[in-house]
Amino acid sequence: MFKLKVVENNKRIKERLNLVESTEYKYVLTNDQSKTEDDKLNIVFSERQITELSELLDWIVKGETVYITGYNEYGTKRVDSDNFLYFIVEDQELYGVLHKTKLLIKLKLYELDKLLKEKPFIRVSKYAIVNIGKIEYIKPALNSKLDLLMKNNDHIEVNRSYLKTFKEMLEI
Amino acid sequence: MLEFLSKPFNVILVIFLLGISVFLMGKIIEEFRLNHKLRIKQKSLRITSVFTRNKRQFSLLGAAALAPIIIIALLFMIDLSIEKRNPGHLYQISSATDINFLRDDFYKNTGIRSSHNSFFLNRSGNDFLMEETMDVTTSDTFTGSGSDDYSETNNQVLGVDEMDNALTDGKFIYTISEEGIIISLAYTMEEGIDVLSIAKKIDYTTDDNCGVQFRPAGMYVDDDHFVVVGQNYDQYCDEDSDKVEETFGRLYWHRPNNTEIKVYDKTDFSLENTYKINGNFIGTRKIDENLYIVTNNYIPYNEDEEVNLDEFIPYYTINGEKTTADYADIIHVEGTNPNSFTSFYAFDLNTNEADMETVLGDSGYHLYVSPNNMYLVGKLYYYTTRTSFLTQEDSTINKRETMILKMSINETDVEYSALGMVDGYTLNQFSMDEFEGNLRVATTTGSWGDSINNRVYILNEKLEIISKLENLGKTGETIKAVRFVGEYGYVVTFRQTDPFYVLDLADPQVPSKLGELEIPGFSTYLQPLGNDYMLGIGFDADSSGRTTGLKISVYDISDKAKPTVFSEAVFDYSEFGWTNSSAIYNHKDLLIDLDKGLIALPFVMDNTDEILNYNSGMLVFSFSEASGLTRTGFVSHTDNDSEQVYVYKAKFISDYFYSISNKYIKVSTISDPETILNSLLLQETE
Repeated sequence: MFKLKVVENNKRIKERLNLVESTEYKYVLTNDQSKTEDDKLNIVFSERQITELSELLDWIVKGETVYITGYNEYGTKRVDSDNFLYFIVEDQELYGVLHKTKLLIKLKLYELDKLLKEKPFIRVSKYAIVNIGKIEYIKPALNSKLDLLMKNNDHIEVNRSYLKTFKEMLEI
Repeated sequence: MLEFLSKPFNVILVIFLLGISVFLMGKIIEEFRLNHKLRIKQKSLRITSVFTRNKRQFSLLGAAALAPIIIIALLFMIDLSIEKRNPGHLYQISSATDINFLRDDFYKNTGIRSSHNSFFLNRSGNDFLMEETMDVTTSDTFTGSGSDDYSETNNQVLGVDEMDNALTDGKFIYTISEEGIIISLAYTMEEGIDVLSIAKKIDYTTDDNCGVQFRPAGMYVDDDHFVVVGQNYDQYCDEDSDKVEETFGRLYWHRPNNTEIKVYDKTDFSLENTYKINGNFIGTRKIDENLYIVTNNYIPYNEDEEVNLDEFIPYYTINGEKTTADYADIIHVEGTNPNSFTSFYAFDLNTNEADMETVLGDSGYHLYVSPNNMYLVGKLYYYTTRTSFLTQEDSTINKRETMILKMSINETDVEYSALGMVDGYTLNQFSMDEFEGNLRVATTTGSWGDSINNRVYILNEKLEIISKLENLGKTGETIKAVRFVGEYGYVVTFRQTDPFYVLDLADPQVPSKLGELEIPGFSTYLQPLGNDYMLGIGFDADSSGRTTGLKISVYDISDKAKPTVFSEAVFDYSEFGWTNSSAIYNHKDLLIDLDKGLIALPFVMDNTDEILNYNSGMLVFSFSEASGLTRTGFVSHTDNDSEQVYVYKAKFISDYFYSISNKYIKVSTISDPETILNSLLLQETE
């Protein structure tokens, strides 16, 4: 998504911006006016503005916050979608799983899928949507499925028919 | 070999095993590749991960190759490693509702009760009502210049100023009185010590005894600013008589939930700026013109009623202009107890530029600040539930952990950097030290017997543990003093005798114990005297571990492997009565200047045979490599026996020695501190 073009301290600036560059990019980030590219979106910054720039990049990547409403024994909760580890259908009910609790979501899985299409979530089976940011470890199983260890130590399986899209998703 | 392969069965077996190996190798490569891609993907999605897990994943080959016994052994290891930190990741907060939700979630799911520590309880209605009065007593001379040669606060870190209750800038001496601040003219190049007089009094008392009163906690001074940090206290009043009630001989105040900073212009000591913060004061530092303040706002929790967080959200004002923390900017690490807001503030004293960073989670109390980072540590003392790997049953363990909150600072920018955990508890701010980006932390676990473990951890920039040294000291000994100096660490442990350890921390991967010295008694404070000597202040003790007197020691550490006692001074209880010094616990009460060979510390003798026969004064030593410690004097301010005059600080300007008590500032020379040359009455004592 991004290409960084700075003269000095390239590594340090990249680190401070927490930036990952990609070969096919839409944005050029530079501290040198002459390095801008005509067909791209150019962001010219000075080193003093790194914190602000980092916030801007967050915004570009993460976009608008999507809230998901769910229910548990303590009532209705409205939670930033980024905090969910995964969504799963159990006994024909959809649950959103958080670090220590889960919420009943009164939506169909495909409706949720649509709601989260700009967000870093991926469908991994007919029953589950997973937050990419909350995957701790990927372990290939012997039967060519993938086992995802989530941040809360839950295991989610990537079904064979979703394997291809999952692997494509990992490319940047 | 050839013979082995001549049998067809063996060939098939080898091919089969090779086939399996290749298959498993392929899987391992895929596993590695997928996870590498996942990390990059997560980074490109700008997902902040605060912790990397300690838990190692099994590789397929490893799993296939390991014998069942080794697998069982590994299961045991994994079971143990689960006990280790499993802290979460940054939680995205957008609004007060998010915070209320995560608090509900945390308290209901963990069973942890929000600690109702009255120390932190907030109260409303004390929001800076005070009108300040300034009473200029005399202002005869602001002309004349001070000396460049004067004593600064005895700070832990060079360049990072700590606030203190008595200061000098080479011309004035600043002290805190019952009413406010007294600024005394102490020295000018033109007239020397003859100028000693009160230049200005700043009075914070209010006519209304029941009102709110500002009480200074400490001060800073530099070339341009004089800064007073304090809190506004509600005075406790008797409703009927409207008079201040005296409790235990002192006015009784409620603990305030505010912090106030008053910045004065150095040219005429007029009030320039006022910063106010709605939090309990935890700590402060000053680096050049940037002032850093750490405060805490405890948030009550009631599971039946939603708390209105707007009442507790941190804010600051600059000359009345208010800035409130934005919910979206609040940092919360999943898994930490969301019981309070801890806020880190930076103010530029020149431009009034300010920044704040707020963390929702456990708060801390020991503040250590390096030129680039602030570290706040606190105990975690609640129970948590864990699932045993073997039994699959939940069990509760009592965590004895220290949480370290790291903020990076760059002038007025304050930014959350990392959160880390180590076992055990820290002793004080000297338990921490930053060196080449790594943090060294000394902790003690357990309270008695075999359970005690003294450790020194080395953590990287992300506060992940690189290495640790364990079991410092003998059975039952706890850490009494710590000092880190560059590549070395010095630790004193004690129960009966004082092992003084020198640690080699040059290679953060492999810290080691380099030298050891065992002597009676123990030091509670260590301060380097150049590269070759270490000053220790503490107690002498008999063979059973009972303290027998105050002891000031100088260790020779030029040979790190063989530290020795170079020089010491002991003030035995049997001779001096009960002796003590505030330098035992407050390093800022110690005056040290190596160039002048000067060491001075407050000293109290209390002869319990007679009632109230206690004698306070400043104990002065000269130190040189040739003759070690030599006592040069004891400066007392007591005029008669019935009076309680406490000498608490010493300063020098040029060659003059100033001792400061609650009643006087007295001047003598460094070489002859007992001969008083000039004296200034600050206030009458009762």
